[in-house]
Amino acid sequence: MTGRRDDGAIEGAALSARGTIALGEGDGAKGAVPPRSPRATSTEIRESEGSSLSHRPVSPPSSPLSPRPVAPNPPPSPCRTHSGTAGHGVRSVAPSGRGGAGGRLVILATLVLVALLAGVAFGAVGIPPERTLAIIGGAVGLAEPVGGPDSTILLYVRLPRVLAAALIGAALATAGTLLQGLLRNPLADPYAVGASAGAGLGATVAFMLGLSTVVLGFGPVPALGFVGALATSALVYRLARVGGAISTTGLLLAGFATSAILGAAVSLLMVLSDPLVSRLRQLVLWMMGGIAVTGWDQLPIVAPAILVGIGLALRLAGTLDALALGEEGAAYVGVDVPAARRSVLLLASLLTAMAVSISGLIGFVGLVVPHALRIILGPAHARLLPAVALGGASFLVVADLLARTVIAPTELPVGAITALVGGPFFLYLLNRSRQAYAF
Amino acid sequence: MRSDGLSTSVAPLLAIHAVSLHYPTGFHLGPLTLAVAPGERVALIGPNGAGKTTLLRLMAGVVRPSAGTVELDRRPLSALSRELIAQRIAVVPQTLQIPFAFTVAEVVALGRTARRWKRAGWQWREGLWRDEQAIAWAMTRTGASAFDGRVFNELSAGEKQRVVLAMALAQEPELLLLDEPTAHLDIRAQLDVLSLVAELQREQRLTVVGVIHDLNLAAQFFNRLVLLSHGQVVADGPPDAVLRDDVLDQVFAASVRVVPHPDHAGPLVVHRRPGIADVRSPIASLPARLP
Repeated sequence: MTGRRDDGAIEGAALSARGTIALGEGDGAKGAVPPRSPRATSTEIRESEGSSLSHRPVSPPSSPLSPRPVAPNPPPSPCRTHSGTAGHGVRSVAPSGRGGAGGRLVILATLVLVALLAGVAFGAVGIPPERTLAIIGGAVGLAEPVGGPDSTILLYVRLPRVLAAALIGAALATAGTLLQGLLRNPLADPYAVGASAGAGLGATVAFMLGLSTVVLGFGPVPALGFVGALATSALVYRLARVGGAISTTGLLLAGFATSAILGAAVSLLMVLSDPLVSRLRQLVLWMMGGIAVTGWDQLPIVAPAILVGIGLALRLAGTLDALALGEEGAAYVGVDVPAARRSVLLLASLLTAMAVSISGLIGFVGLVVPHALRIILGPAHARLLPAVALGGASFLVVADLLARTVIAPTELPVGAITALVGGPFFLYLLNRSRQAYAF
Repeated sequence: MRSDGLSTSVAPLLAIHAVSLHYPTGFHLGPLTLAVAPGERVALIGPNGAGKTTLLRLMAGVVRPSAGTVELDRRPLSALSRELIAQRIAVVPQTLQIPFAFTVAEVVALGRTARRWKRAGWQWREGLWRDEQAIAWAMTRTGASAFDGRVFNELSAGEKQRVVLAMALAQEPELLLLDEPTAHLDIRAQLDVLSLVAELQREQRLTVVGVIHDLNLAAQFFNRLVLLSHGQVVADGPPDAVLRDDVLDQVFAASVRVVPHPDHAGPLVVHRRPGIADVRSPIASLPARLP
């Protein structure tokens, strides 16, 4: 049976000495988010195309190849304050990484790398940096392979765990962004359509059954957690359809109700089921969230799935932007809203289910990371989605690092760390906008 | 440009054939038949609840009729994808609530959504350039470029109206549908928006259909009025023909009088003061008054 292992205990047991607690770069990496600059300054004035606009009024052609006859210079609108506006460039919503935004993505990517390195370098068991490099070099083939217990820890415990944390963080943050864009609700997170409750029920049943079969590297708990999450999302979608059409409010309400019902079922099972009594602590630990990968077993499936999922999400960036206009507004600009809703929901559910299967229920990543990056980078999804994936990855890697090292060799649940960071941040968000809260 | 708005010799851009719509709430629209020719400026007028906005939404294709068809250039809207419809029909809705802090430029860029997809690789750069051209033109033309860089939600109603109009224009439509464009605006902004729409219609040879509450604005800026009441078309024609005392009294159940406009040829609808007994003149343009 695969439950959450106490990796700190494993690392501590491999060496008889106590591990050292080193926080070092971890905190610094987490804090190094670029300060927010006024968004108005990122509008660029593009002189080369601007000059052509100011002299020749461009009237939009009727088809890509045949222009309509250009009308003579239109009279200026009486209300317009003519400040050379014809020369203004317009910030494109296309993912072309312009100026500040591109720079910030690079910063975020660097952040991820730093976080990954920190995650690998530090842990319950202290491994000196040069040894870390030697071990990695040996594994990659640049140097002679190194043996020993700390090599095992690094390569088979820590490295997959840190990579898994990065993937889970990216998946949860992306799913949260997708759902916030679809549901247009600041409280939407990856679990808004029932995924967490479904995964919880699946994991509870898995613990109850006490099986030990492993399929494709997935034990019963991750497998049933995944199935539970997906099945519940499908159920919520189906329930929200009652009445012919689906509305976003309907989805939220159905998600909330279903989560409540399934949560009650889990509680009942916890109390009433005999086989669960002995495994209750493990079940609760799973639900509190923690990176539960067993070596490299699950990553070959989870990693490509999550990466492909995030790639698909990037393609939905324009649709998500248009959905901000509302369902009717989005239809007016050409979005097939029912199809878009299905795609977004399916993708978000898959990403969440994959993440949850190997991490239990880690909250706040999917809620807080999109909000924070929206403040910094703006709500345009072409920029936001890649940033959110990188930001979520860093956030969770660092949270997991803290979970492993703060009270080594005891491991704190990662979900508690993310909540301790996420909760105050949310209060800060609430506090900073006294006027109408447009997130 | 036609002066009377009625045309029988040109194929209609938008044709509504015997369309009816039934809502579960009991609201009933139609059956009605209407044709909009290219280049017309049509105003849908009528009392609240007459079905003006519903008719507009039928024209935009976001609502399907229970019976009958709506055709764009002889092709039924139900057979066209949303994307294709959006490339030819743009809507300026009455209100737009955007829960995110999009800037004005980003909102206008949303108008390009229908044209941005499915671009082949080699067309991608050209497509981006065309997007930016269309967005810049739309913003300049509507005056929205004056608030370029500001967050959409922080603008006033009139300013937001300009931005939403720019977004619709960025779609490069042939048919522009306006849902009460003057609803929340002061008189200056009302005149600005409608004269801008009239200018654009002339320049770009757009066809415009607008739902207007203010009868005088409708008479001044539109060359064809369609008066709706209880889901039916009661009158359809140039302002002079549609705005008549008797018709308006009956449809709106209000006391109004139609007098000649002091500044130009055309009708002016004024409220009658309660308590004055008037002899109603059979000729709508001549006021009749007892001392």
